[in-house]
Amino acid sequence: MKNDRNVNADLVAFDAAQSRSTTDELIFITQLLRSTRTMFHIDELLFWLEGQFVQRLQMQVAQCWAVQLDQFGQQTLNMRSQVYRDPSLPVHIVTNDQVMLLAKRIALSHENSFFQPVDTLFSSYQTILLKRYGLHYCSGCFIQQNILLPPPNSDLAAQCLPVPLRLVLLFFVHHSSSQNTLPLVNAIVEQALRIAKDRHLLHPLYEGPRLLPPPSSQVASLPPLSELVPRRLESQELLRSSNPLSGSLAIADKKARYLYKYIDGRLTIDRLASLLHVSLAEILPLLRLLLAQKWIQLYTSDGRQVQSGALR
Amino acid sequence: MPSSLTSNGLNILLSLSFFFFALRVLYLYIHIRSARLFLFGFSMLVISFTAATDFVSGFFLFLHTDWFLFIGQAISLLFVLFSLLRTFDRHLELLIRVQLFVSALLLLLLAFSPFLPTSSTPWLFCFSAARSAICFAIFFYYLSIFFHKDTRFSLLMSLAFFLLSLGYLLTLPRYVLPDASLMDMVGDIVRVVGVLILSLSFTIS
Repeated sequence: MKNDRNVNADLVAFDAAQSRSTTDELIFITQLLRSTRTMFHIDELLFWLEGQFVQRLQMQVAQCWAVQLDQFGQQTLNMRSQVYRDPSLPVHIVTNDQVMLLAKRIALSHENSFFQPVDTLFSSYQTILLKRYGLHYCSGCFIQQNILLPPPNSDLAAQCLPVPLRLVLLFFVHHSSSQNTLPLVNAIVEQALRIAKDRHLLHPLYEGPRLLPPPSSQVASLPPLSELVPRRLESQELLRSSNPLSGSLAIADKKARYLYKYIDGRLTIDRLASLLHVSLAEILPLLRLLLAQKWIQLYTSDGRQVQSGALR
Repeated sequence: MPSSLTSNGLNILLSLSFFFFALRVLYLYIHIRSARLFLFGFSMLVISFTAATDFVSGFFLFLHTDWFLFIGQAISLLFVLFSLLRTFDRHLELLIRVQLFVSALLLLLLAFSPFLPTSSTPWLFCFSAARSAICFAIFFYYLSIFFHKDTRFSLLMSLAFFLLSLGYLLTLPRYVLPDASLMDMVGDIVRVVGVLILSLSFTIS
């Protein structure tokens, strides 16, 4: 009931500001309000946002970096999620030390938004690599708010502490015309974070480290991990704009490649593990790798798509 | 330069390069199970086989392999085009089944080639024109992809299929004009360049 009142308040507030919203923003926010009803962690919302930016705003790559605090109190900047428009894009092109250094620079300088050619941001070799895949420009923004960002939704981050929200969003795009979408991105992210706070995906600062776990009813609605069904994702760009023999399409990791052969869209994670004579703990990192590289997507046994954050 | 030299050269180049790339594409298919890869790889394999049989038939004149050559290449190019146009898995998987069935019929056609009549000019003209038209359609499709997402691969593929289409087009006059061997030779050379660019697109992209 409280959530519905907050949602209604969101809608009322949004109606009041409707005169200055663009059509795109309207569409985004409407879909966001609908989608957040089934989200249980902020990472799912961030992943969803990146997917929408890539799909609707013609971005090629969208990344979200966040300042995190480990159990020893050390602050680090880590990538929370990223989405590629072209699944055949090699991971190392946009996931490397140079991109991380750029994200760190933005986090330290608190640069609100920028849009620059990649030549001015990276080394000549990195620029050549990026341009080879059509990533001519890089844009992004820094977002800081007085709310707590929960740790990532993964076993490895279980010991991390929530930290005041400081995000760096990075986008790689083809054309300079994408510069015009930056104000829209900023507006959408602002609205999204407000909605996330209303949905308890983010928490007020005063809650401190005493973050409450998600309500048990929300947890129960997701099936157990072992009952999820991985399905293969076909790359639509294969043989159209990407060369299948370029060496970037094969799954680099041997064990993940072996697992991928057995994924048929019908076997659950549990059945796959028993088929391959491995434990669940051994198969999950391989599935995460395949998910991150967009080789597979997760579904429930009744065919509902599951956000990738469920596997963390 | 005798036209048979360019024709044999084209057959050898087409056969070897398409066979090599077909094997690599099909090997990749075994790993990632993409239906589009299978369609493309198998089509290249069939085209390679048609070129090889055409070369061999030059030494065994009783083999009337023109039917297998023209129909096989036209159908394989058509499957390449369909594999690019279709997006959904179930459509591509259906295409695979159709391709395997049609290829089995083509093999029957090859097996019965000593008993088939010599192909008549109107049919040769039609099949050759079909090859040119299909290659042009593929060229146009890759060109549109290049304008949407300018990758080296799509540019080289569009150029390769444009040259293949032009090469097939240049061979058409020999079926209607009395002395068009020069144009036929030029068509073969253009197709050789097209095949080389196709090989380049798979190598350097």
